Amino acid sequence: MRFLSLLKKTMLENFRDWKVLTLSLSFAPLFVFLMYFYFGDSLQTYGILVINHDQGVKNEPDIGFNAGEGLIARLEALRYPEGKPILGVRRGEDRDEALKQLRDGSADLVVEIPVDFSRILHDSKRGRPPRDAAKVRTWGNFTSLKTILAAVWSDTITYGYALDQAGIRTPIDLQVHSAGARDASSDFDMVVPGLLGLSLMMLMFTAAASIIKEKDKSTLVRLRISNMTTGEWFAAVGVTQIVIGVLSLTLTYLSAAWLGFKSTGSLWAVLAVGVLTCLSIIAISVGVAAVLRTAFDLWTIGCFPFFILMFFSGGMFPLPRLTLFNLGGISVMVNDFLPTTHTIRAFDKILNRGAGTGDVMGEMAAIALLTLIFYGAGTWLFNRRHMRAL
Amino acid sequence: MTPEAAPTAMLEIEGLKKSYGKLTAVADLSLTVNRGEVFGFLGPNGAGKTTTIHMVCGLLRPDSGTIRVAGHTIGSEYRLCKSRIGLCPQDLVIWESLTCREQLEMMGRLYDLNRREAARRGRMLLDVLGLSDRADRLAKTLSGGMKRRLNLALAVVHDPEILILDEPQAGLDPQSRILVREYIRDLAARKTVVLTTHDMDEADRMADRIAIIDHGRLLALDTPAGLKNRIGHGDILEVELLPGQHKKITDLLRHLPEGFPSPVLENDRLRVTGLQMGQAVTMLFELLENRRIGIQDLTIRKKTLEDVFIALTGRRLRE
Repeated sequence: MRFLSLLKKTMLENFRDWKVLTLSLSFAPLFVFLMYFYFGDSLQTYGILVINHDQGVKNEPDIGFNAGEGLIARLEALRYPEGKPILGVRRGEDRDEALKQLRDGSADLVVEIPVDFSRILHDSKRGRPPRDAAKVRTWGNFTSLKTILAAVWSDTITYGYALDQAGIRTPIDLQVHSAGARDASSDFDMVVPGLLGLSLMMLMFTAAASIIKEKDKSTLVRLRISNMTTGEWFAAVGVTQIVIGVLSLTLTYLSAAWLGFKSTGSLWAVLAVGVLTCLSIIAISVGVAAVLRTAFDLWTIGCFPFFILMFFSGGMFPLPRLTLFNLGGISVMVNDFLPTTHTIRAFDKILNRGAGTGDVMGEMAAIALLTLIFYGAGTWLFNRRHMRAL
Repeated sequence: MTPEAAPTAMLEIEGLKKSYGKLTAVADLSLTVNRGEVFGFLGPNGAGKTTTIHMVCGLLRPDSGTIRVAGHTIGSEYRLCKSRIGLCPQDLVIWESLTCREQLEMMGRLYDLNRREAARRGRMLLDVLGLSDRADRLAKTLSGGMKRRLNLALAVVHDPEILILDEPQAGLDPQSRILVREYIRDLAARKTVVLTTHDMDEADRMADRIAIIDHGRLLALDTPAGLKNRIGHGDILEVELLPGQHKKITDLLRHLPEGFPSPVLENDRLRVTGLQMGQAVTMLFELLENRRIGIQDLTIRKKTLEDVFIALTGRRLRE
């Protein structure tokens, strides 16, 4: 059977070309270790610098009461469910010095508690509403996500504390619950889906190299004049790449798991999405191989489509949602045309939000549809440029 | 081939044309290669030999013309032609990361041989071409000559009826050259062989008939002896003269005796073609001595296809 012969050949060639294989298999696991090195497995702590000018209350019966210290203690007590502090509170003495630290990034937020903080709260509790409210001032770069989150936590705690101390009972009870499958996700947890996507994107090189090598070494001439069909050849390349893709995905997941990552969803669903994504990457590789001529072209020009997949699938960093058009109430974004966008969304749903195969059927359908489109276009182009003489 | 048996055409080419932009690679080529014949395509680089072969193998689409292999038209009946053709390309076309055995068996299977037959053919070819002891080595570890032999083995693993060899001796070491030549001779007894070459000796030694092509046009088609006879019967006498005697020589050429074969002067070289060269040498020596024309060297040799090519095109094959 011609397909089996081609499969054996493709397998042998890919597994004997250990340099390319090693690069493909180790790239994403290496990124897993790098990301872990940068983010660690812990949850994010936001740095707050507090300048407490509060002089406390000196008259009876609350002599020695200092609301500023109380607020700082409340901020310090704020913790993730696993016990790690949410706010890393440090004390500052001087506003200028604190703002300097804010600018150089050693703090995310500066909170300044006024001199009369205790006095005003004390008077309010005693039924003597103050003429002016206590001015708790915050400084930060409010275009930074970390500052915003630090301010949200800080403001919430400050309001709650002030109301408590002033003896004011609020008519609402704010309750915050985690919507994810975990109580809290670390930054590392959030990048793992993207890294699993990256492990599959690397297939573009091995798959395209499998095809381009035949042109580069002119062995395509032998294949063309044999009874082999293009479909048989691409099927053999496809099966080989799926094996490499699953291996790469597994190694990347195991690397993350070894560093403490735990999936909240079904690993079978990860595998199903992974295999489908392998097919889509192979489909893209056929198009890439149709355009390029040599292995050298692949390692130079071929990096361009790889970077598009890597950076515009949403795996590396969040992208703004640019709507192209609406279809039956569904917004179609620019990067929705990349199958790996749906892969990373599906991986995120499964790994971080406890989804199963049924929950990612939409993403899987999108990957399948894009695979068919890319494969059809790629095969047409490849046949036209390299296969069909007669 | 017995004279009684009508030759059956194995390869028929009619009005074949192929151009690349303004460059005409093959211009209205028509010829027939008979079954069991060793047919040579002789021409300089760029003559259109490889282009013709690529069209015969279905790798290139002709602009016009018809090609038939064993009666089947390339194009409409390409599937029927594929297994009948074996191509040994000019460049090395082997899979460096596969062993000799692996790639021979794979190619056999791609031509629909069953597993056992593909393995048997592979073993046999490795043996015949002196590669048995390298059967399980990766092709990239073979020497240049061994790679060339593997290149040839890959072309015949499916036992084609017509074998097309594009410059089969190019890049071969002397040992491999002998092995390959013997193997092609052996094949020629059973198969139709088409070989392209710009090596006249190779074509002369191996081909039953030779087509000389240049600039995509067929200049002559005949047996090697027939081609050589076109430029006169007999041998060639070449006399290398001392330089600076041009006036004396032109004067001599004007006053040659009756019946002396007409010579050709090319720079300081005088070439005479004819029968009974011994007599011509004596006569020429006498004439040269009488006119005090000094000579540097003298050769009597058989005519070659190179002489035919020069006669047809006015230039050497490798110019």
